[in-house]
Amino acid sequence: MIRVEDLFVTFGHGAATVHAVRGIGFAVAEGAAFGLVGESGSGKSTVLNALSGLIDDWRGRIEIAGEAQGRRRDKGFYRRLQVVFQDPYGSLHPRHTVDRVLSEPLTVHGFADIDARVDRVLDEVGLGAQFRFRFPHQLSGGQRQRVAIARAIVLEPAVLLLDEPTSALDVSVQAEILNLLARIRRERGLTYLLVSHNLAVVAHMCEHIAVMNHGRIVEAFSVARLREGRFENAYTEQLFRASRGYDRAAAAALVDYE
Amino acid sequence: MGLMFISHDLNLVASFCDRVVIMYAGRIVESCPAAELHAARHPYTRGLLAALPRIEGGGGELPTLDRDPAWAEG
Repeated sequence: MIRVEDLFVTFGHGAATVHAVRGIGFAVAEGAAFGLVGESGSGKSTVLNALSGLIDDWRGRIEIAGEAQGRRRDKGFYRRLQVVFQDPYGSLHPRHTVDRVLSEPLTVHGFADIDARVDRVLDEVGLGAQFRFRFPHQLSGGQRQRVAIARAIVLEPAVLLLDEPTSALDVSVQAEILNLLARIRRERGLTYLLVSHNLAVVAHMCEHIAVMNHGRIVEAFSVARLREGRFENAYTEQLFRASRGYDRAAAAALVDYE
Repeated sequence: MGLMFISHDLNLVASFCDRVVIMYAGRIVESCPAAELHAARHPYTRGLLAALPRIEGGGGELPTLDRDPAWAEG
């Protein structure tokens, strides 16, 4: 469903050039969940932004549902691929009601029976019709992320790109949102690409995982191998140990693997 | 230097801090040495610990919190 080959992304020019993504490739089968992990600045969100068409300064090959993608995407592309962002406080317009947030994409894409669809999707994400005319500031962080998920699935896409969808939420709300995302994927047969710095979240949600560092994929493996903690790459080992919690000696011994 | 570290990252707090205070609805419901956070007793803290996905976990449904109104009454 997703195929990426030799993807390069650079920002800036001349001496100030930043090579954010340096020749990566991966494939995600239809209905699968693929995790992209790495620390801040590793380039993982930039990959999502290139896939979703939010940045156009990339080189390489991006295929979604068998179609090679160019710099500009057509309307149909955004019906098939949607994104859930990290920050539910920033991703919803503060002066738009939930109703407007969910109706607008349906209008843009020419859907009929918008009214019924908005009610149905609010039920599906566990909010219900009583949230329909509220503003984002009247919702909790978890409720806002449910609205962001509703906005993403209301167009009935085939692919969801999830950029740290629970890292702004406390662990009890995180569990609710992860359960919701897993159920939606199961029921709708969606393909997920999940970006996270939390190895446990990725292990919980994904069958295949790739580790990014300094714009490259340093290692890719199945969730079974992640659970066993068997890695071939020194950076992956370090990331795995760091995810266990803080250790003064380990923190002092952290190495920058270029 | 004293440090007060506010976080919902339970693993980080357990490994980085000396003592942990768990708050719920404006009250401290429990306090313990950080190294013993995994053995916390209050149902709210137990619920938070249970809701954490684990690398070794099976990928099934995660337990979620059933908030008891009595927790807010202290």
